[in-house]
Amino acid sequence: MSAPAERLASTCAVVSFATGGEPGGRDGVPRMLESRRFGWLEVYPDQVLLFPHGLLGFEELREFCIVAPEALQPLTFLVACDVPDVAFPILPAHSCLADYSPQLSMDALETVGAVGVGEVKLLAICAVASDTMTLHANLRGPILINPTTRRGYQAVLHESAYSLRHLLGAA
Amino acid sequence: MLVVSRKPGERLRIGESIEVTILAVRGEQVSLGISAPREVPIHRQELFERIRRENCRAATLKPEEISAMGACLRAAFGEPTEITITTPKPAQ
Repeated sequence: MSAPAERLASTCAVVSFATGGEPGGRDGVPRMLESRRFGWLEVYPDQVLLFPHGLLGFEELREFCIVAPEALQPLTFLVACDVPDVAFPILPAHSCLADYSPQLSMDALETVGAVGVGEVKLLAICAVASDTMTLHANLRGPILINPTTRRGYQAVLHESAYSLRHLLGAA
Repeated sequence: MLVVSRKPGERLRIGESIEVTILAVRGEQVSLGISAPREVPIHRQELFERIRRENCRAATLKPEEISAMGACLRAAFGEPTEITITTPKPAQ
């Protein structure tokens, strides 16, 4: 069981949201996070996203970073900085459904410091159904990320036809 | 549990900042209007629970499910990720 974890650990990059900085000349002291799945992660302040409300069921976890294992592209993981073993597999929502256009509330946008939908990246949390080994994306509770403010929020779409388990593919 | 009977048009106040108005009662359905500060998230309980369960499931995938995910992804995608990775992890 350690083989896939080791393979992931050797090729993981932490996604950066720095704007205008020179590569290599970053500010702040990195946090070293140890996770079973990704090994040691060096996370700089410009790589940390603040979720003021956490995620549903994980309200106490506020800081996350995005880890991108090369072997699983385009899949990335939203990793909780305080409990790095809590890692949500995520995909860009538009790669799950090309014309995905959820009705986002002003409150949701304001939580991430955005005025319009164009400022936010929409991500979908993915999971594998262990009985059928199929990959699904949650398009009913999308993750909003504003890369400029580095804030995130999980929206809940009340009146919506989007699926909680949108089928993406089978193994 | 506190049980309060209210008529349409009547209100309830919860704490200093949350106000619940009974807007209408039609048969089995009650319409509520809720005023609350922005930092108080309001969700329908069943949808909230379902998304919470999905989150818990996604956060606790087993290694074999991650491996299966790789196979599913290869079946579903050929495109690169939207997020540009600018900072490779330094070698340990």
